[in-house]
Amino acid sequence: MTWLALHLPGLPLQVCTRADGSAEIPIAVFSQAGASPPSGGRAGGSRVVAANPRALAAGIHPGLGLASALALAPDLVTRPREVRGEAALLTELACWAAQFTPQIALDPPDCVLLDVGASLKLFGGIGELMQRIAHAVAALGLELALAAAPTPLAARWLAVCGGGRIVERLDELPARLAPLPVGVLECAADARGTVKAESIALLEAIGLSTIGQCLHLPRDGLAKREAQAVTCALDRALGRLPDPRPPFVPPQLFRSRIELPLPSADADPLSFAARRLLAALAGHLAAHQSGIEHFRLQLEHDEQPATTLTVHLGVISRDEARCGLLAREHIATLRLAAPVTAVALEAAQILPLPGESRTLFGTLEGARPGREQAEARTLLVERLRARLGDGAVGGIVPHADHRPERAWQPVAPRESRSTVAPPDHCLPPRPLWLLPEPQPLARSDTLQLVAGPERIEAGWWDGFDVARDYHLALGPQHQLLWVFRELRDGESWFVHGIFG
Amino acid sequence: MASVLPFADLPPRTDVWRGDSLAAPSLPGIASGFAQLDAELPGGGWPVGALIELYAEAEGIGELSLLAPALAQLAAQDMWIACIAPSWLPYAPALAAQGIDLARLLIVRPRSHAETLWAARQAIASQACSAVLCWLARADMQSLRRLQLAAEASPALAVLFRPAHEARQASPAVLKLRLQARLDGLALHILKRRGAPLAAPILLPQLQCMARALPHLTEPIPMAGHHDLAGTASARPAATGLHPC
Repeated sequence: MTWLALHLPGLPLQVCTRADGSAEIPIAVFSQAGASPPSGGRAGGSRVVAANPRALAAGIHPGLGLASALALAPDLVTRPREVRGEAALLTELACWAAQFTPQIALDPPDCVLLDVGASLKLFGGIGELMQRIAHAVAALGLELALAAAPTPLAARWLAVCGGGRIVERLDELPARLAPLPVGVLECAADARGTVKAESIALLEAIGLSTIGQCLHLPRDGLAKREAQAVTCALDRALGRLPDPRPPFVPPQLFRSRIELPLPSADADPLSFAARRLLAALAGHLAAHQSGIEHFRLQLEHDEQPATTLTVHLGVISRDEARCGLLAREHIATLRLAAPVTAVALEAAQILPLPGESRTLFGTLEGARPGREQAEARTLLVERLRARLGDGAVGGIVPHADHRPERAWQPVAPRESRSTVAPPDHCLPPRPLWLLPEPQPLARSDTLQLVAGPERIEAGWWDGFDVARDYHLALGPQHQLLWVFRELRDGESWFVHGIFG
Repeated sequence: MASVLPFADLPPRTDVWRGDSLAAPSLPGIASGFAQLDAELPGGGWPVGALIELYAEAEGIGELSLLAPALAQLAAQDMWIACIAPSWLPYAPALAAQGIDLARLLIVRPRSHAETLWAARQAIASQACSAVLCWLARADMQSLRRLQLAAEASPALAVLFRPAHEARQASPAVLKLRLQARLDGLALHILKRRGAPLAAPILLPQLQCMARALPHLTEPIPMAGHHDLAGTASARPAATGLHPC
C-alpha cells in the first residue's frame, strides 16, 4: 500500500489567495474575535492566523493582534478566516484528485490522503506521479506539500514537515520518522481520540523533541501518565496498528467558489478565477468519466444579487481550455453593475463521456482529419455566440413557398449536411440578395424594366397575402434589381432584391 | 572573383518574385471559375492565406456572383463559409441555385464595427472556415493588418468587401480589385497583385447584369426600349435609394 498525502500549508491563506496569481499585496487572514485563539496567542480580539510572504516580510506573524498588524503594514488586506471555505476547498481538492485514484480519504483540516498503490503502474511510479500532481495542481492555484509513505499517518507527518519525501518500505519508517519534531503528533486525530496538547507539552517538558526519542519511551510509563494516545499514534504511523480511513465519496453536483482578494469588475481577474475553478471541474469530470454541456458561473457582488452566466459548450466535453475560452468570451461582454467579490461555478448536469483510447504512438484512435475540423467548427460557432449573442449567428435554408419572404428560413448553424432538395430550376431567376423589407420606389426613380412579369400571388390562407408582379429592372449603376408592382392598388412599385 | 550571376539564373524562390512576372505562391489559388481572371491572378486563382479586397462601385453589381463559382467549389469541403455583416439578406433559393451548399453557410450579424472586425478575425483564424466574406463599411490600417496576419496562417479564402471610395487607401491585402459594371459585362480593375500592374481592366461578359440573372441564356438580351415605371417619362438617372440593412 502506498499513501500519498496532499497537504495544503497555510490553508486559511490559500482560500483567499488562489484567485490571484501575484503576491503583490500583503494579505493576512485573521480569526474572528471570540474564536479559539491560535496556539500561543492570548484569548480575545482578532488575531492573525496566516499571512502571505509580503505580509511576513513586513513583520506580521501568526498570533499577532489585528490592530498591531495594521499598524505595521497600513496597506495590509485583511480577510476573516473562513472555516467553511477551507472545508469546501479540501473537498474540491479531493474531487480533483479523484483522477489519480479512486481511493481517497479526507484528513481535515488541511490534508487529502490518496491510496495510490493501485495507480502506480499507470502513472509510471510514485516519483512520476508526485511530479505530475505537483505540476497539475498549479492550475488550481494551490500550493501543495506532497509526501508518500506506506501508512497514511506517516505520509501525513512527512508532508506536514515539508513535502517531497518518499518512503517506500515499511521497515524504513522508524528511521525516516525519527527526525520529525514531536509537534506532528498533533495531527493524529482519528475516531479513537486525539493526542492532547497536554501530552505533547508533557513530552516536550521531559526534554523530548523528536519522534525518534518518543519511540524509545516505555509504553506503560506513557499509559500511567494518560498519554496512551501517543503510543497509539506511533503504532498507527509505523503500521503496527491498523489505520482504516473512511473513503471519500465525491458529490454528484459540482459546485465551487472562489473569493477574489480584491473586488474587481475587470474581465481579466474574473477569467483567471474562473479558470482556476474550471481546472478543478476538469479533474472532477475526468474522475467520473463524464463531461458537461453547459455550466453556470455566478459572479457575486456586495449588496446586489449575483450575476449569473450560463456558458454552453456546444458539445459534451471536459476540455478545460475550451471551457476557459468560452467563459472568457462571456465575461468580456458583461456589463457589471458592481465589482465582483466572489466567483462560483456550478455544473449540475454531468453527462457520461468515456475517455478516448490512444494508439501506440499517442495519437487519438480513430482520429480523422474531419473530427478535428468538426471540433473547430462548433468551437467557432460557440465563440461567436458567446460574444455576439445567440441570435447573431445562424444559417439559412430554402423553404417551399412562392412568397419571397417565406422562401427561406433562418436556422441554427447546422452540423450535418443539407438534406433539403435543391429548389426547382424551372423557376424564373432569383436574386442573391433579398432586402429585409421591400423598399418603395419613388415616382422620380427611373429604372429600365428588362424582363417579366412573373406573378406571385399566394398566402390568402395564412394572413400574409401577397399579389405582386415581379420584374427584372436595370438600376442607374447597372445593378440588376428585382422589383414588383403591388397588384392591390396597381400603382406602387417596390424593390425587393438585388442580383449581387 | 566569382562571376556575377544574371538575376534570371538565380534559383527560384516562392517568396521572391520579379516585378515583370506573376508571383508563384506556395499554395495554388482557388479557381475563380473565370478563365480570363485566373490567367491574371498569381497562383491561377483566388489566393489563399492572404487578404483579398473587393471594391464594388455600387453594391449589388455582381460582386457576389464573381465569387459564387469559387464558393460553390469550397462548399464541398466540410468547413464553414462565413458571411460576416452582409449588407442584405443572402437569399437562400438563389444561393442554392448557384450550387452553394447552404448547410455550410454561417451568417454572422455583429452589432458594431468593432464586433465585425473581431468576428472576421476569429473566423479567419479558426481553421474552421473555407471562406470568410466580410462586409466592412470602413477599416483602418491596424485592423486590416491584424486580419492579414490571421489570413496568412489560415486555409480560408478571406475576402473583404469595401466601399469604392476607400480603394486608394493603403492596405496590407495582397489582391485588390475594383469592380465596375458596364453594359457589356463586369470590368475588374486589378489595383494590386503580386506581379506586374495590369493597365487594362479584365472584362467578364459572363457577369453582364442580364447574364447573371439568366445564366441559361447564351445571348445577352438587347438593352433597348425604356419601359417607364409609373408612366412618367424621365430620362435622368436617379439614385434608387437602397439602404443597406
